Amino acid sequence: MFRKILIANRGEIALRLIRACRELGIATVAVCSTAEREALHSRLADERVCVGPEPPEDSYLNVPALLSAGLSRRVDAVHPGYGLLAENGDFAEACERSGLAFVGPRVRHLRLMGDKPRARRIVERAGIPVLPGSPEPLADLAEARVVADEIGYPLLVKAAAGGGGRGLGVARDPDGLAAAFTVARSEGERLFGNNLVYVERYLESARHIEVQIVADRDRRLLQLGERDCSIQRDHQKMIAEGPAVGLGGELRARLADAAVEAARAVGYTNVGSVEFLIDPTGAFYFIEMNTRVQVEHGIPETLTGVDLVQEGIRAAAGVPLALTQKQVVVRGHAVECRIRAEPAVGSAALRGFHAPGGLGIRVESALQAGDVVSPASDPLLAKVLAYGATRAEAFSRLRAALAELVIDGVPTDLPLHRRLAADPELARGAVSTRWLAEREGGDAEE
Amino acid sequence: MTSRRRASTRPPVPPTGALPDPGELKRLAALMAESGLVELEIERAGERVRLVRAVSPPPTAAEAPPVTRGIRRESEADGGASTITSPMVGTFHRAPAPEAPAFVEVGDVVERGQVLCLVEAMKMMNEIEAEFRGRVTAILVDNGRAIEYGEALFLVEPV
Repeated sequence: MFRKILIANRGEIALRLIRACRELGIATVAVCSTAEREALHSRLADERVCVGPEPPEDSYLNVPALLSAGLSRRVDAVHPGYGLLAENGDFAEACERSGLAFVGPRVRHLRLMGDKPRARRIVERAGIPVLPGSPEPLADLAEARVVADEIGYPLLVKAAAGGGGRGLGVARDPDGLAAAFTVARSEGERLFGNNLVYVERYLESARHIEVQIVADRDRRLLQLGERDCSIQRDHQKMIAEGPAVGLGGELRARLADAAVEAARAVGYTNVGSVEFLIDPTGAFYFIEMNTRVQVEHGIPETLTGVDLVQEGIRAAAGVPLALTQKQVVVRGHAVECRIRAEPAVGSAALRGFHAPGGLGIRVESALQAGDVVSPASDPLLAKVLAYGATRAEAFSRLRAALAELVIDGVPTDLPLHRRLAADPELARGAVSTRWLAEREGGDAEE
Repeated sequence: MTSRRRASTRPPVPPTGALPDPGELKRLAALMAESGLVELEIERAGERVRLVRAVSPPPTAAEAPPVTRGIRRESEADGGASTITSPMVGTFHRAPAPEAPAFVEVGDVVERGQVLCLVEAMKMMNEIEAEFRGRVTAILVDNGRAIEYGEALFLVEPV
């Protein structure tokens, strides 16, 4: 097992990783920018290393500084969390070349699943349905038009290296294709350093459901149930809940099997999740695999009692999974809100912060009164998870928790979360990825 | 300017007895990795053990540590001295080698461009140079300590 881990992240996920390490008896080294020396993650870790100035590319994305921090503090592993460098194969490889274990899957899994058209091809060969689309990245708009005519509209143009709802453009007709192509290409270039794009059939009405996977280095692989992440705003997940409602035992089992097959097809190790879209007829399609601990990992943890962060660390250290699939039992219902800062031009000081608590409530946040929320900080301010024996009980606890939550001085989407938690239509059952935009009277894809 | 050096550290060896036991070997191996030492041989009572470390390929351009051009001059501290801060994360070395004399001592007058210390980052030694002529009034970090970006290293009074 590792003795000391560099936490190459910040915010709530850094705290989560530090806490898991503490339980495992592993020392931690936090990294921070000059603006976050007093941030909670900097203070909670056993050691802190300032790695650079405030812009993330100079600090949290500064690979030489991160590796130097790890080597000079003699860590034996690096945990990337989610976002930032978590799915960066070059970073994982640089860690390993420096003699530091990377807590995550193998470099080849990051590279393969990070290349979305390639991931699609491999998964399709394993017999899992994918949406009609271009098997290879498209050379130019002319080629996109040819493929688009074959597949038919509406289409989603996607950055080949994209993910997390970024680098997407919807084209409803040939006129819209050029614009969608440009959006996907430029966002891919700007956010992922890769301007390759591909197209896929766009489902107007679908549910976004993902299955949690954990695997050790000896290819023991478990699935820990699914969660529904259909409530999205500008392709960003707002609310996740598990188990997915109204799925039916048979479809649930088929989704779980498909996720296991997809992970096995690449010999996956460590924690990850496999994302699917489900159309109104109940047909499902693989869209991508997230090769890291996910923002919503609290849902499977709460439902199964398995600590996914600890399992990921153990798996990276080569410790075999102690659990069997039979021992994984999903109990009750969990719903989680991502409370985000609204996009702002300047910085805002957090005047006050109060986290709710009580039975069935789990709040993950690194906020402290006095923090400055700037465009360079992580917009995810807090996750509020509510658990109940039933869906109704989980939502009832969520409403009480959101009513109590105070984030004073920074504009957030908390008012929208409060409305959603009390929405009668949502309380009745499953909704599609378009539901929120329609409910709010806006257009999801502007 | 940045330079690469191979550490000539002499690792501490147990004073008496037989060859290193497994625990000791592990410690020596860690020490070699840490110091950048590639090969180490210990001979005791006619028995010899040799440790050779596989050297990883040098970092590619994209991963190379930031090149250090001298040092930063921060806000005026007490008595008109400037705080010299570290431009990078790493390990602080006051001397070019463990037995060598330190680059500077308190009271020394340093010229612009003179080396003040080394910061070891990713097995590379980065020379930190003075940006202006001045007298060193304090050395704020112990030799061999891990330092962070922006850490105060020296107080230098312009002369």
